[in-house]
Amino acid sequence: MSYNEILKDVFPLLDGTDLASCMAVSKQWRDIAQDDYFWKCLCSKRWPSICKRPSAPTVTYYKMFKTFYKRQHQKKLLPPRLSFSDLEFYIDIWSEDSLIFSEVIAGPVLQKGVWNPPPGICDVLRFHLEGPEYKMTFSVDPRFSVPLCQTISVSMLVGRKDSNKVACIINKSVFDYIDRTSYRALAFDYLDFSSAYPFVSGIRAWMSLLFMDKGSEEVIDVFGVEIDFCDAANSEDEVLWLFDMLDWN
Amino acid sequence: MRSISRWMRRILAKVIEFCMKHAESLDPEELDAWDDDFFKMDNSTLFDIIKAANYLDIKSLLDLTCKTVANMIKGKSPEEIRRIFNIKNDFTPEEEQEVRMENQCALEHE
Repeated sequence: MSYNEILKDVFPLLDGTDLASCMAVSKQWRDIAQDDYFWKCLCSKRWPSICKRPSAPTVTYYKMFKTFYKRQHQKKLLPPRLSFSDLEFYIDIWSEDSLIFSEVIAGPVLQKGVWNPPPGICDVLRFHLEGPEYKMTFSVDPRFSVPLCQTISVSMLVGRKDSNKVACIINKSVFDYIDRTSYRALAFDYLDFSSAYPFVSGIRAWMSLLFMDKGSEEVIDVFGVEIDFCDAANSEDEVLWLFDMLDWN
Repeated sequence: MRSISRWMRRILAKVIEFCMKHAESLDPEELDAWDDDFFKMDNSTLFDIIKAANYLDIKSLLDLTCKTVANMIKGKSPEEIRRIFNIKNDFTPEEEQEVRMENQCALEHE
């Protein structure tokens, strides 16, 4: 009886985790532990019904066991198909009915990068802007003032250069929440996804007007804009996937 | 008749000791305790006993010895297994990484 044969008698007594550890011990152990027969035994204990079919439902029993033995909690995000350089953002902001801001912002400008906010902003806001959560920001230069007694609303569309299509991010939303501690005026809207993604809902786009720490109760001095999807996306790749899933037309 | 080497005599003595104990006693608790003690041996003796049990077709001893080896592997990392069985790691760092990636996430111990 060779050493290999001893291992062949021992391996069937191990569970999947231990057999996988054996595969990493040495080349000899790996070559024996890779025998799909052992994995077939493990699969048939875990899912006895597969024995009713002559061959593995997947390419190998090893692959089947590996994939389904434990629930995969960390779903790997596929690389995004879009990049910021494919996109441009059409942003319009109204105070009542007059247009106070109207620009096309190129994707790379909005992509999270190094942007130094001007001095004179409050610490809470600076702390927020420097925080790790993924957010897209751009500076507004020259700054504009917004009287808070008026209704401030925004719409935001995004266009993609690769297919000449446009999607809506914010239809028409009002900045009706003013966060006085962090000097932001917030508006949001629910994203509309394409019918290829039927069950996705409840994800909001948030836009914040960032204003200076000037102290006026009635007028805010806006120096920048932040856009984030904090409900669901917390990295550049996740944000790009959200854009990809929008209802492009 | 070929003379039996001292080594082989030692292994056979162990095998016979096992068989005699299991023949004379039927108390499972007593046997379990005795077996635990019996298997406190070095790995090479253990492997030799497996081979002997296989050759002599003593199923109960073969099962028990294999189970003993399996228990030595259970819950151990590859490095720990190598240390227990004195096995050389012949993977290159790239190969080792590849094997770990293959098995990671799905099958790692928590």
